[in-house]
Amino acid sequence: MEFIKLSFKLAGKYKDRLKVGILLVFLQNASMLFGFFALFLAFGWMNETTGKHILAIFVVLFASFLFYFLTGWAKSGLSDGVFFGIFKDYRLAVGEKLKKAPMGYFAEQSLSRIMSAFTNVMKSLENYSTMSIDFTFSGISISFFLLMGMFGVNTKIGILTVVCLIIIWLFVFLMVNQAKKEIAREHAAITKLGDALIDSISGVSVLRSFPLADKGVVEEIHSKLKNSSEELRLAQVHFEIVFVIYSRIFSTVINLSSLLVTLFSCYLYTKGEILLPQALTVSAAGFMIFGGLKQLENASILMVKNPANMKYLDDVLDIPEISDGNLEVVENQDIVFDKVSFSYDKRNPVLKDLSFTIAQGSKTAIVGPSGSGKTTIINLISRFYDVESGKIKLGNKDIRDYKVETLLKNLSLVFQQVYLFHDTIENNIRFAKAHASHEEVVEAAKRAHCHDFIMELPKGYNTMVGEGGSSLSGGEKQRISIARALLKNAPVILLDEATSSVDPENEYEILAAIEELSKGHTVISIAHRLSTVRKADQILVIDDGRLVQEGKHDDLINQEGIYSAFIKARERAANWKL
Amino acid sequence: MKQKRYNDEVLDSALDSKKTKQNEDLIKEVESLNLDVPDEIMQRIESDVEKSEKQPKISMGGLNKALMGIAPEYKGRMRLSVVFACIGELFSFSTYFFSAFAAGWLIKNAGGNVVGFDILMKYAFLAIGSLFLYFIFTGFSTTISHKTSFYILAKLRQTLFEKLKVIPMGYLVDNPVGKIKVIIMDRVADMEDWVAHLMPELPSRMLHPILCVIILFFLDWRIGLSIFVPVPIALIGMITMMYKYRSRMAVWLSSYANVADRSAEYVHGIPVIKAFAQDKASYGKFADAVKFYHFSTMKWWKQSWFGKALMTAAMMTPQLASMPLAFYLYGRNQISIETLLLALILPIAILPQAFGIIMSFELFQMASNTWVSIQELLDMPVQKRPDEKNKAVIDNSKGIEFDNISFSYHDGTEVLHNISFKTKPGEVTAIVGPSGGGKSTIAKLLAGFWDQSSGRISIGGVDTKNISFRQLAEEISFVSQDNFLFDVSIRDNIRIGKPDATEDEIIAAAKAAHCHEFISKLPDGYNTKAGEAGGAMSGGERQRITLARAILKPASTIILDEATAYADPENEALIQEAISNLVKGKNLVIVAHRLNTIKQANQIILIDKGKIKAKGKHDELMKEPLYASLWKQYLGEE
Repeated sequence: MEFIKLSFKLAGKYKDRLKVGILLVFLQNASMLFGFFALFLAFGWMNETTGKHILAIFVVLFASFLFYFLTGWAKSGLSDGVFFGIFKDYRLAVGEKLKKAPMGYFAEQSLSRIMSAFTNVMKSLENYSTMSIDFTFSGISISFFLLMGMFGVNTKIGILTVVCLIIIWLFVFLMVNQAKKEIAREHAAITKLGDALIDSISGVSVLRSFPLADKGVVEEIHSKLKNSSEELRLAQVHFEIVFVIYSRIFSTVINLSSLLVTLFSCYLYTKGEILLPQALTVSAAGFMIFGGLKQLENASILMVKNPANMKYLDDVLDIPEISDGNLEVVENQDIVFDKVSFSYDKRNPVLKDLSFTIAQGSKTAIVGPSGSGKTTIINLISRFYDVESGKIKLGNKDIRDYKVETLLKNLSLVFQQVYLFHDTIENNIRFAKAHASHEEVVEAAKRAHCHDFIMELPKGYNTMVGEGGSSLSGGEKQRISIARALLKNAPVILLDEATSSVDPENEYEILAAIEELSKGHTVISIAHRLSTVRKADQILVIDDGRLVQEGKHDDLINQEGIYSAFIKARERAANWKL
Repeated sequence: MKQKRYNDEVLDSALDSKKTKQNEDLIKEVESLNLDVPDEIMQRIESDVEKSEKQPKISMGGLNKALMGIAPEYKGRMRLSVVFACIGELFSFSTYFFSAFAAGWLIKNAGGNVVGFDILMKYAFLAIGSLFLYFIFTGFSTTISHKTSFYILAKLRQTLFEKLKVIPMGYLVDNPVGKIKVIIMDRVADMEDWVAHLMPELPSRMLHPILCVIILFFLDWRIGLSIFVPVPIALIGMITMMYKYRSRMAVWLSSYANVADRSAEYVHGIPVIKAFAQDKASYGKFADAVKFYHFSTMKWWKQSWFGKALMTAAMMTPQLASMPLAFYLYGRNQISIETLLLALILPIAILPQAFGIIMSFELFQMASNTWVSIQELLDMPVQKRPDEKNKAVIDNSKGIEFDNISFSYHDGTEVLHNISFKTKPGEVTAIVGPSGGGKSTIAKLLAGFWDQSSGRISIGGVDTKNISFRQLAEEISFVSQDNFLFDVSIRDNIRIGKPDATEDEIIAAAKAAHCHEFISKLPDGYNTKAGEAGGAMSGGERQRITLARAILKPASTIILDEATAYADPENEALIQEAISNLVKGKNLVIVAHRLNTIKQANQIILIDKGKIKAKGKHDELMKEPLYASLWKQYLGEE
């Protein structure tokens, strides 16, 4: 029932079709009354059956068939695909919402949870929701029509049937409830096994390289895996056995019910309360109709899984939205951090009371140890997260006063980890500007030093990126992402330099591409390369969320401090020889 | 013998061409659906078709046999469970017979031939007793079968994991951990429906309807035949439902796979989408995928609605002919009242199971496809090496030799062609060249991670194929960016390199790897468990602990494969110094991306497109245009 409520909540414009579907399923089982009626007629005529009678019985049965077929067909046409429609709309709506979600949401829910909501969970729901609603409602309607028939014959038999039905439905609910409890245990075991496996697989690689390792370590890996695998096995066995016992009881109870009803009708016949045809009809029909309830057994597993899936969607895709301002014009590109504090988890502050100013058109390099908060600064400027206290201003206005769209139009981001879509190279570049002409794309690619290697690819700009397409090297992807930023041509560039040194041939080209991107723009870069810091107008040295040094390379290099240590370490690394 | 093999081959190729034909037809059929299938989905279908051509097919019996082969010790129990289930099913028929008896009892009473109610009660108790036995037998059977099934699944996971210890190490190095996990866990979980439900239950599920039909024929052959009257109607329904089923299914599966991939891309690319596509309605590819999936699904469903309704209606009315016939025969006194009742009840008793059986064939398809991907890992060939007890005598005055080595992955693409070189002990050999040229592959072959397709690799004069895995691993340390620590104390993590190391040796190694200092600062120092220290250690620090491990190991040869590639800048210098301490006085083979690191190497090997372009010292190689241009680009950086 809870599931049906949730379904209606999701259904949107499909609500009416969902209702019609339920109604038709209910109606469909009225065909049972035809069967009941046919039996009743037949037993009435049983001692003097003529051809006409036989024909009449056949006609009633055929009508039952026809009725079942027509209601079924109508039901399919009106509502069978409803959940595919519901989830089409839902997928698109969620896609829209994700764009406006703060990045904190993604970190909190974890990408893998969001992904499984998007794929397995939705797939299972769109495929099985109709089935479970159908099963449930046909169970209800079978019970209803069965009662109608039985009460039609005799009130006492009707009452006995009610008692049987209550017991049968009670078992359905017990079964579902018990299974819900057990399934949680199974899910926990699955998660645990996944973690253990990841460790064990990595561990095996190490152990194969270090064959001398002593038993303790080898045991550690094996016991962890064995224990959690065993835990899962036990949870599964437990779940199934509980479920199986219930389902056996359930089908035994159904058989028992039809037996009791038969016995009782014979008893009533001896008391003269019902007539022979009625008693015979009840004996035969009891089996047919109670048997129809057996499908509830199949439905019960869906009654557990579907609501659990719905709940998962509800939890995971409860997406918060960042606040939107209304300013649409940015007057200049001065950026000011005014006593900014921020933490990802509301406990461990990453930025502490940070203040600095970046003048329009200047080049700023941010330097500091890993974990000092460099990337956070860029995340805050682009409103991937919002400050906890203090203010960030762009053009003298709080960035939260701008429309998000306006703010991001003014920023070009180059990420440390390049993400390219499984699409043509051209479309990947054009992503920054939907209506850019081919010439504009090529121009950007040339300036980002990627035109030449693109032209060498078999299909040039139409080459697919990613699986099945060409595999680009890290440096080549990096340059395509720079071309994307170039095409966007936003006045402020936020650049997170890749920490890993890629192939030397690429390194040079990347630097040239970055140079091109920086021309005439305000640039804020998280710098790992010496060349970047040397050329900067301003260097901000961040340590533990605070600004500890500020100035130009020539000033800072002579001061004792993090900066000079950083430069020395970089120089040592660059001159490493074996 | 030879003749037989020849026949098999002919048969195989005949089967292959038949398959190919079928698949070509499938593509044509997809085109005939007029769905305007987008190119990327079409490509997916084509590549699936290609894959299925290569995929071995497995029969239901074959699958069950393979599964039972995982846990042969449970075979007896599985059989017992099937037998019990069948016996249980037999008892469930008692209620049908009781009903028939009750009808007979009623008729006799109506005919004035009074039979006491107590006799009916007696039979009722008998039937209830049988029902109880039904409950016991089937309950017992499913309990055994589920225990067995989940035991098989757990054993399968274990078997797959054990397999990781003997397959080529290259598989572990080249595949992300997550991908291997998916096979061991998720693919195995996908087998659950089959292993736990259908495999043990199918025989008894089929028994019920089959027995019903047999009894009906036994009672009266005309009634037996009459229950098949609705079958043609059901068949018509099924045929219209199955019309172009294979191609519809292929489109459906591929368009869903497309939705899944596009969703993954959308979620993973969200920073880029936020930064670059804020103004667009929705990223086009994602929306297109979702819409086409819906469109093609609805097209398919619409086509099947009529057939589905017809088929279900026919199946739901199995008594369409049998009921009038039974009454007709009863009216002619050709059958008894008991037979009449059974003729009314049994056709309907077929129903619940019949649907289940139809569904199980679909589940079998899914299970057998999953099994094929599990089997791939299960049957992966093992490298042949001598037993570890036979220690090879390695001559330390000789270096490493690659003699005419070629290598191709099992898909057949050759990535290394005729590589030959020699190193002298204690020298540094660097492998350089453009990315994707095969540098890492050389390092992996030397470490024994893969077997070369042809040629001979020797260390200290001994063919590596004559050195046990254990001895080779003792001789060689392969160092990459790996930073995996076991969840034991940090001391034990370092000690893995040399189990009998003294405390002093461990500390010396930690100092050489620049990790002594931060380990000492941890609350429990060297006793801190790596798992507990997890958050407190950076990736670079973890990597330095693994380097301390390598420093402790008494290997004669070190292979460095881009070991500093992903180090964060703050850590890079420290890691480099740790590596310098590690390689002192050993044979060193280094895959380099920073050219000045290896300028003084005794030998530099320039690899391009899987071939040796040139080898020699730096000064000699500068004459080689490719090497010179690598340097030119490299110097442009600083």
